[in-house]
Amino acid sequence: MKILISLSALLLSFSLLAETTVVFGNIPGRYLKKEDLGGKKYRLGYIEIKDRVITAVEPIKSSATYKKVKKEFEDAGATVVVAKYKTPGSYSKTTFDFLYPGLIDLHNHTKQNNIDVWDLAEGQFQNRFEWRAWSKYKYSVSGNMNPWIGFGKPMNCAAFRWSELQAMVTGTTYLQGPSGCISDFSIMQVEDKDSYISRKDKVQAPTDLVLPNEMVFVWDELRPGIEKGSTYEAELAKYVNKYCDIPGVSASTVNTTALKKLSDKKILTSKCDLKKVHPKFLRYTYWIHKTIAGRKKYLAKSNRAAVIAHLAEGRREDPYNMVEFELVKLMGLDQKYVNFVHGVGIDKKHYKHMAKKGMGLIWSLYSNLLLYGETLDIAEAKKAGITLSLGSDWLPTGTRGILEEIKLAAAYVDKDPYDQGLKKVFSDEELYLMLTENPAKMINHYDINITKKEHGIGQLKVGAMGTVIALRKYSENPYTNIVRKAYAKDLNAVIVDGKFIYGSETYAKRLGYKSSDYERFPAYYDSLNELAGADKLPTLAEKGATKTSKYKHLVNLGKALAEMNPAATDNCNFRSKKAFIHQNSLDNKKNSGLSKFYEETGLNLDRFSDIQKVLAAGLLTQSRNWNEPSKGKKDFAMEKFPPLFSCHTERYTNRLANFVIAKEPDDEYSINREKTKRAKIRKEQRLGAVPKGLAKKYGFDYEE
Amino acid sequence: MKLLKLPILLIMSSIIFSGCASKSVDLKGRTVSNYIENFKITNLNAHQRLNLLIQNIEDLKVEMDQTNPRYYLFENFLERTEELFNEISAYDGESMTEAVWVPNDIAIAPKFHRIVAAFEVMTKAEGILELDPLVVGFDKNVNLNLESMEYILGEYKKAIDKFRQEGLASVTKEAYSKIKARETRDLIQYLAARIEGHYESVITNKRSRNRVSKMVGWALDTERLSGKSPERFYTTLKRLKLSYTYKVAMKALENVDFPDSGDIEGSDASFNQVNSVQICADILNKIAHSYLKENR
Repeated sequence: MKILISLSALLLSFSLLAETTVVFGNIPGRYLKKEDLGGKKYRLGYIEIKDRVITAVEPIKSSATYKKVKKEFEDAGATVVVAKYKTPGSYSKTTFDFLYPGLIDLHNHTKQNNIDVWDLAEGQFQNRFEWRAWSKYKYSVSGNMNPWIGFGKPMNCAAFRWSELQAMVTGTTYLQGPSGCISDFSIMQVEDKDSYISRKDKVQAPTDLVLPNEMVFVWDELRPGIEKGSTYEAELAKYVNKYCDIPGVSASTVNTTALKKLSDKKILTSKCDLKKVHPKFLRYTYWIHKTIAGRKKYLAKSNRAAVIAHLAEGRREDPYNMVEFELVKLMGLDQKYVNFVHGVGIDKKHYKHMAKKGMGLIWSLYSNLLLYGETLDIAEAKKAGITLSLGSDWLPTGTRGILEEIKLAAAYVDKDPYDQGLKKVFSDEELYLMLTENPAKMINHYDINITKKEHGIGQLKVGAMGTVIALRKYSENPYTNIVRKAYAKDLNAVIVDGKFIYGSETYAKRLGYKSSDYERFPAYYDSLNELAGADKLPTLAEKGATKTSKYKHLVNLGKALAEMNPAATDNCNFRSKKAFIHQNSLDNKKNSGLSKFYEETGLNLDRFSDIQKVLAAGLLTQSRNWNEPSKGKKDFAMEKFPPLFSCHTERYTNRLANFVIAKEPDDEYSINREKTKRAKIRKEQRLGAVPKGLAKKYGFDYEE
Repeated sequence: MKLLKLPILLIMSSIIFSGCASKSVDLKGRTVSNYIENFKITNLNAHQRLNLLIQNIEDLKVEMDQTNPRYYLFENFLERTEELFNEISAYDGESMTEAVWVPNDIAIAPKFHRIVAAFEVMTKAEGILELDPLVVGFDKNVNLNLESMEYILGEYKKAIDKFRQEGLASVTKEAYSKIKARETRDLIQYLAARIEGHYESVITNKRSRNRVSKMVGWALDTERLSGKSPERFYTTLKRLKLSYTYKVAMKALENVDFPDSGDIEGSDASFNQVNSVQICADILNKIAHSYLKENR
């Protein structure tokens, strides 16, 4: 009977084979039935993808079946990806790659991934506002990113596309981060509705949900009433009615019918007693309340997806950091599908509440340790039942992707710095879920309901989105394989919505791609570094530059770059080169301007080589640090363009690999944790004013 | 020039110490201008005093909250001053070594005149911002530096006024009217450029965006908004301000949503956007209005 059902399913699927992709490889056990596994943690099988969606996940139990099924798919014209480096025709489970759902990175800043790791971050900061305000940070980031990033849309597009490629080559297929002009280029953006087949609204991802300077008003004026059992809306209405003469404001209208009046500067300034109101009342009510009301409206919708925002980023005991979650609660934003990035300063006492409400935390370990020398209490968060996922953050204080971030997470678990028995709390399979299933659940894109046209991600199941990656097999445990063993060099296939876009050159050739159909990776145009500080390219003075003059300059720059043919170098020694299949996204309406730029300059931003040229020229020749002595500083100017692949930068890989080492008391993390060292750096760098000021605003004492 | 690298308060202290080396310095409760007056800044030459001004403005920039729109005005003023500073520095005449605020030198005095005009235009814009209840005040340190800057600019103005009374040809009222028109035009264009850089992320309506784009394009066009002469500037500014494009664009810029930044700078970036778009538009409008009214 079973055979008949399988055969009929197979026959049915053959009817639409023109759009079918089939991937053969070892499938992790959690995606197969127990009885098909025979006591193992995986089984050879195939995944069929049709019209962007997985239509079959089937085990293969014998050599004969493998050959037969493969041939049938080939004969029917399906795109057959055999995730196996050698002799694809033979049946040997051990040499097949492991197949996984495409990884989901819920925290990235996609514009700045072309800036190298920030050497000045030694775990010394107290919270995110401290380093953001530090002059050296401004030189390190703004001084290098400006003004060139604003020369025109193609520059931004190049930066976003670079981030996508960086994520793609480390197995991420859903990347969170502000982005644009990336449609049909490579992987998917978490916030983009079109990344899913779903009726849900887009994922919202403001950087901050809490605005420290403005929300003092909520803390000072609304908190006392809310803590006595009232609501944010009722207290705001009460306050407005006390100091303003605006009719129709009540708890039930502040977020609805009265919102327009409360967002009107003229009404507020003429109808409120500005001498008596809280100094932040006007700014808060006029600018911020509308965003809170909007957020609540979104969360109340039946088709809402999720919200992702930074919260309590910094040290655990920083007084202001600890206030941020309190503010979220006061405003009534402690709701299901509200997820926080970092959350280090959230008091442990709130963890159970968060779990009960269905909130999630996004762990960016490397970023936390580099900037603050500590991270959230991951053991307690997990025990309380909070859904956890990973985020790579951004290259200046992060990793190149969550495939790298998970290695650091595993090292942290092994080190267990607070002796919490982390290894018992986090198995490799549980760490793996932080890359796949958990983030999908957090953004409300996990469930599958074929009749309602909902196709979740982060899983290899019938009805899920057809996004699959293949990683070389090193371990008998598929979860250990991805969590501890496999790196970018082992990524042999990235299949997005059924389309093979990147992977081993061997696999690409098997699929019939010619060398003119793809770009060969890893490629690093290190000769572009010779441009740094040299006068080989024209520059543009910031002052007086207009949108038109900036774009004109960009075109001139592009033309000069198009003439350059730097040789690609590769020191990575991968077993097989990788192929990034040429994409044709310039004419996509959402990517407007790229086609024109191509015509004007000859630079094709569908190509990695041209993206690298544009960004390298920006950073190495057009930055404020290089060209504007009054605004930038040459000491901070970048002299090398960071490569796409970690293997091209020994400095980065060594630092990351040695950052957290179990049983090693002198790894960088341990040194940064050392209190006296941290205090010394803070004193030397004259830090402290920002966290002190923030603590004071909220009525807390602060001591260094 | 060592002075350039020192914060303004340290410079003041060094002046103090040069007069009374063994005494300790208590800055508490006293203002920078007191120190300038009390401790003979007049010992410095014209070049050193100009350096003081530049350093003063740079300190202000570092200490100012960048989410405060007043920051942009200083940024623009600093750029103007630096430009003139470079021109003055390139001048190798003896007069800059004199211990005066402004040398009585026809090759140099007009440049100081321009700094004074730029400051006056900025002060006018500042006044507009101060009246806006959404714009919060500065902290103590910033106010202290503001005071010293005002003091220095006051001294420049006094010196220029003195030359004018004495009949120095290059700092006449006519010359002032000309450079003030130019400075006003430059400030308007600076504000328009800020709007141009940010409006797309805060105005979602396509029609409104087109109008704003057209308006800033007009304001940034040096032919259409000309600074060639006060009369031409007046005419072209009036034409812009009375245009339908301007009115529709200003309406669109009046109420913008606080945007989700998504960027690393978070809420600071959001404030940068709304300030750049909404508040810069407001200043631009009021500066234009006031100029046209005063020069009718």
